[in-house]
Amino acid sequence: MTDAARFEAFVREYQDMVFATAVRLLGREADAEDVAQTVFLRAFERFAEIGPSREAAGWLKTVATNLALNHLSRYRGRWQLFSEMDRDGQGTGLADRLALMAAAPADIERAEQQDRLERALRRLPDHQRVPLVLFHFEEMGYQAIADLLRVSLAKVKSDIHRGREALKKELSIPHGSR
Amino acid sequence: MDPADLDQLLDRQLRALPRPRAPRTLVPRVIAATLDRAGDARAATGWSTWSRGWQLVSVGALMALIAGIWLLIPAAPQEITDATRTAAETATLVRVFWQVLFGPIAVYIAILAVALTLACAAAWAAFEVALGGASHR
Repeated sequence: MTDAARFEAFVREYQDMVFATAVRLLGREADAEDVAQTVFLRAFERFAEIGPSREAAGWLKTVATNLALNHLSRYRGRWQLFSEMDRDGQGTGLADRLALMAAAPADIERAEQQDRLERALRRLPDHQRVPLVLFHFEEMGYQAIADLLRVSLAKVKSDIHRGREALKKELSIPHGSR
Repeated sequence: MDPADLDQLLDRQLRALPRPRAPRTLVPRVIAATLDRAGDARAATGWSTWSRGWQLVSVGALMALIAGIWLLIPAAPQEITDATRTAAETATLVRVFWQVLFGPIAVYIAILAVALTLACAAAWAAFEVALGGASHR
């Protein structure tokens, strides 16, 4: 297998993980794709070292998290207006919708609820979504999140609490009322 | 629903959320970007991109060349030494001329040139707008 083929296989193996980390932190798929590309370019530069490493997944996740946070602090102010405008257009893609149509009613309801929750998560303001994602999906502790985001522990706790409250409201809305 | 139940439900639902899938465009984008980067790396042929060995060899060759010229100068024909002396005197004259006359006002001249360029551009833009407006009418 050539180096190029090995790198492509590496990207295919980790693309979902890197993209998921970025999209949950950023809340926008276009931004997440840009960040994921940058992550893999960094990996390409050090592929001889990272490719065969067992810590590749951890390295990719850390770089994706850091780049997504940098992206938020650098560009989000400029793109806020656009992200507010097209957020509602995001969510399930065509393939997912077709899969939903072929599924059983219980599966459909569960998938729709998951989709609603995922969209609600992405709609949260950055300062609530980021610590909540780091806490729930990256399994970081409150103190680690506070250190990473350079904010106080109290703010992290309160932002996560508020984010959870917003998501709970989404969950408590009966199916079909939106 | 009880708030505690809702909390547990939220935890369960968050844990059960499927991982978002990367768009199909990601892999081709990454591969294209790596090919671009590899192309850039091949195109970069500056001295800083040479290997350490070649850099040392090139520095040695340059020093040998300078030393050779230095050693050959006393043995050079009279015309060459005269030309070298004239060139050095001319360079000194130009330097003095620059330092005395142009050096102190160079910044102002540069500012004036930029300002005139901007004014011309603005005037041209205004002219085009005026012409465009006239043609629309």
